[in-house]
Amino acid sequence: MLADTAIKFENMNKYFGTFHVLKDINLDVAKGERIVVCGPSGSGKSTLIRCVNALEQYQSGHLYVDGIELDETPGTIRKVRNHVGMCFQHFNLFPHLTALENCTLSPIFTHKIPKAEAEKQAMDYLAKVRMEGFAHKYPSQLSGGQQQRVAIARSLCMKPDIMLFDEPTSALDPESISEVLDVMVDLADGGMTMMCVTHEMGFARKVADRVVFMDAGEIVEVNDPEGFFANPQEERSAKFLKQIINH
Amino acid sequence: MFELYFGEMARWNDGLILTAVMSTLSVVIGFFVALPIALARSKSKGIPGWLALGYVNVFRGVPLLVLMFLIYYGSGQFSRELRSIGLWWFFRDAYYCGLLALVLNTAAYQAEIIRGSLDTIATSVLETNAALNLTRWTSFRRVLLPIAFAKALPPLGNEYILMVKATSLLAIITVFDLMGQARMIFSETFDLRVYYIAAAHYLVLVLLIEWVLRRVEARIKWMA
Repeated sequence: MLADTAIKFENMNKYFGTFHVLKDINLDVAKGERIVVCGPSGSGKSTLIRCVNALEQYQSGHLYVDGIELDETPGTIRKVRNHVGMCFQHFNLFPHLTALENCTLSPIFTHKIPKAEAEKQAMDYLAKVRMEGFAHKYPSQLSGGQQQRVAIARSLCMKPDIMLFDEPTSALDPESISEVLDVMVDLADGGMTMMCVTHEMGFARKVADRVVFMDAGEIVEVNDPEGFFANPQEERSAKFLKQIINH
Repeated sequence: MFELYFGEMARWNDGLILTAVMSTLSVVIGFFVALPIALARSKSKGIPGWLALGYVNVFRGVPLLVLMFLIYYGSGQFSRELRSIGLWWFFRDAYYCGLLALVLNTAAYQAEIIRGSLDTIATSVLETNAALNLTRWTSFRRVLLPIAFAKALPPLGNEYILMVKATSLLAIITVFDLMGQARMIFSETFDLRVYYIAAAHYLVLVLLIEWVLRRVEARIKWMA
């Protein structure tokens, strides 16, 4: 395994009961690489990235994250999650905590960082996502796009090497989508390893190093964005692209 | 009516304070007893879960008055054993026995209230806690419990109000709460209007609690 590999899927299979969700997944993600995962709904793309921080368990094959092979032991899972941050479709901010408190909770109680230091660091990240003026607001007082940006800052406060995004803009209005995508572009420019499930093809073109197209639990095509959009190699990807462009 | 109140004001005040103290103490202590029971009911499928269910079934199933009789009068049967283990000072006192019965009873109801709201917390919250690598304790103490408490606040307030009125049973085991004072004054005056005054006290106390609860609920602005 290469030293600069961040995530490595090796013949990975996952089942939900008898349903075969992920079929023989093989994929290497290099450090600093930006991967966009797309595909029709139900194709397993969310499940794929949820395996990376062990929100889902896989049944056969191997998955290495930052050189650690993921198994089902709590110790390993904890170690891997220390390297991986995640943003969810519905932001999942804690409703009873302010933006700042959302960002400092895990640093203070998981990493045992002194409160003052955690707050200073959280303010830096909130500034990075342009939310420093809203540090003391509760999630219910923020718009969707603002909540998602706080959620990104919250993940960054854990100093991850890898960031996972599970349809981060699907629940947002067009205006909020661009403010969240701008933050994600900044993050990509900063060299973060990213795996992003998204239907934002403009974003994929702009920042992705590679696009992974999935259908029915399989990786159908891995291609660079220009090649993928201009000249898809597989019939299924071509069909998918036609559908999202024509709507 | 006025002379029944103003003439006996010291006793009414004593009764009112005792009723407020006993109901508040039992609800607060009961809350902390209820927490582990609720957690076991909600999260444990093994023996703790069964024990918690057993507790809830027993103490919701036994009438509070019967429980008070069993603890206060029943413990007298074991006075020698209780003396030998140094607990007699507790069980010979009607106030402690009454409080214990109230706590055991309300803890069963509160455990079910809290379990209910713990169970309504979405799995997405649990996933977020996992993704942020929160420890189990931090996840419970800092995330699940505050959210569950906020959701449970209206039914917990309801339970508080029920407990205020349930304390009137204490009078039967010789405690001088509001009802105890009312019975005492009645036995001296044989004037049934005494009980109107007692009723008015309860009503005022309950309205006061309702007002406080409304303000607390309004303060939890993040619920919106």
